[in-house]
Amino acid sequence: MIPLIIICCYLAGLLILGLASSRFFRGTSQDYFVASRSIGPFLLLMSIFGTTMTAFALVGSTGEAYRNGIGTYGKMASYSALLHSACFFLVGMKLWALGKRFGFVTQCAFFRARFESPLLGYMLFPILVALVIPYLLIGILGAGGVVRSITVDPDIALLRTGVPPWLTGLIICAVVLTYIFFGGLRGAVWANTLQTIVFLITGAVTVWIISSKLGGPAAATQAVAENADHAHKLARDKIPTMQFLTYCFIPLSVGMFPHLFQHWLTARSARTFRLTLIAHPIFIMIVWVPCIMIGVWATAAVFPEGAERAGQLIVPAGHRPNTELAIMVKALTNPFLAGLLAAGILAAIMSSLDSQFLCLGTMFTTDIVLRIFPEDRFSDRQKVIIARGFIVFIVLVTYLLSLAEPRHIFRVGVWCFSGFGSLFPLVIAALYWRRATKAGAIACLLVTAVTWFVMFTLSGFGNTYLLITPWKLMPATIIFAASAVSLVVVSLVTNPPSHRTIKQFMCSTSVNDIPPKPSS
Amino acid sequence: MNEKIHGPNRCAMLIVWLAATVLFLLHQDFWFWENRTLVFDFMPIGLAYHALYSMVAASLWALTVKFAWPSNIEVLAQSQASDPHTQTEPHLTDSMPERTGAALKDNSDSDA
Repeated sequence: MIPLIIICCYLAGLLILGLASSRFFRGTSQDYFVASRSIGPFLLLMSIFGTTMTAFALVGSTGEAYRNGIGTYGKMASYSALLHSACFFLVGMKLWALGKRFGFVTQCAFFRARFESPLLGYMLFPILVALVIPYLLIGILGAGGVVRSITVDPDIALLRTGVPPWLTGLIICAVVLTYIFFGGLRGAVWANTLQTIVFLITGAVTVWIISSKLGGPAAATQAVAENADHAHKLARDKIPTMQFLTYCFIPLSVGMFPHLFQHWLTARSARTFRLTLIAHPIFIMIVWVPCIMIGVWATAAVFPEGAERAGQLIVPAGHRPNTELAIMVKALTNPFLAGLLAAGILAAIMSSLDSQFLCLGTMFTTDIVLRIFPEDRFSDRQKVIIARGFIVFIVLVTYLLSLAEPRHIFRVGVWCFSGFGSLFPLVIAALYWRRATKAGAIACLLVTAVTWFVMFTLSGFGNTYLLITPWKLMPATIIFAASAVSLVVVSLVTNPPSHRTIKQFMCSTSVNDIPPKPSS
Repeated sequence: MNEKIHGPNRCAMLIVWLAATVLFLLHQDFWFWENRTLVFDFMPIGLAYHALYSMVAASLWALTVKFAWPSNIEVLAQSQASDPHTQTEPHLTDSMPERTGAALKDNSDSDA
């Protein structure tokens, strides 16, 4: 019961924070969608990091390390340390600048203007929404699995098997929707900052306590080394080298995440990005190393002497997917700490859900509704209501999907990121290649969407990795290649955009090249 | 005034690109692939290497920020919101319409 009470208190605290952030809401759609582009370095770091650390990073990585060992860190985290900041530097900052210059609040608006193509915007919207849904799904699945495992209490009839995932999913969605409805992106930034601090601190506490209960980190690792079935997980014997290499396409997904795009636009200035560029890799390491160690330790961790099930595996064979971290926390900490640690995990999960929910509403309002109807058809208040309505619809779809057979979070996440990562050529070309054309962009989008969907279907909708034999490549390799080739080939055989558009979007180095503002 | 805003130092950017490429290649640490040596008695060397890799990546970005910062990025961001040739999108406004759910506040600048 204690973990449940702590989790409820945490959720209540988030709601209060969300309501408090609404007092700073300036009442405009500009403030609701991009926090009036006023966010400073610390909040930008916290909100971007909080958004990128999801159930995938905590629950998913632990589960993947349990199954496949330490190579999980190299596959995702260390690549991300290099490539995430590269994306922020090459893509994020430039999109921030263009967003400020032209007033964009969504990716579709940027691509539409860059390629002079309303059609591109209409095509991009459903693809981005379709790829965000799996991202939402892993958050809801992760939350459900963690809370169920942590709240098991044999002494209370209703909690004999823990809080059911369908109820956790419902409450999580309701809480997140509430604080973003009141505060918009500013509310999400504040909540993300709090949640990032919470999960960093609780994460450090988790690994320290768990390792202590296992006799210390050396003893915990030694237990794995002495286990013939799992010792290989201390190295990468069973991970194909080409699979490891081709995981590099996955972190490129941050270049095309619509919710990250929106966070970039909140920055007060280009200098605001500096702290994020440097600290983001360090924060990734701080979160992922403990999760990987816990996942590996869980393969051989047994209940300590004196415990009711002394000598038995803490994480039994046949356990539910995505529950390794929660089972370890539940077994090796006291109820109070288990509740705090569960709150920390939920913090990570919800800090992503809020941005994802909000970006969906933003995109629907600005890229669909306001393109179909005249600009002055809706007041700002009505625009916000329309955004909220669409968000609720998508959350409902995702929630219903979460009730189906659960998938491994890591695998679903990798598929989702593969889709976004394969669209990376599109954004790089849009920012740096003058010869990229509207037709090339459309071809890239179509080829990426079709290729991804075919491969995702062949994988059983995220049930397997579907490595490309005989080289054992990640599917993202093929999708990315198809995306890049179609973009380049079609661009080279079609007419380039107008010179005026190219001049507006490609960086000028002279102040005199900027047209003066018309006099008022 | 014909002020020229300079982009990042070309030599510095070249070094950044080279360093990033080298770092990318070093990611494929085949020399530790099947090595189960433990660092500090508990961390597998393959994991320790990649944790160190993350710190080196952070250092690379710190050096990039210091020596290869694109100063011209602020020029690109200078607003042309009133220029009809560049206004292609329906605009979200900074006006103060009616709201639901919260009291209106003064437009005070804040870090949040």
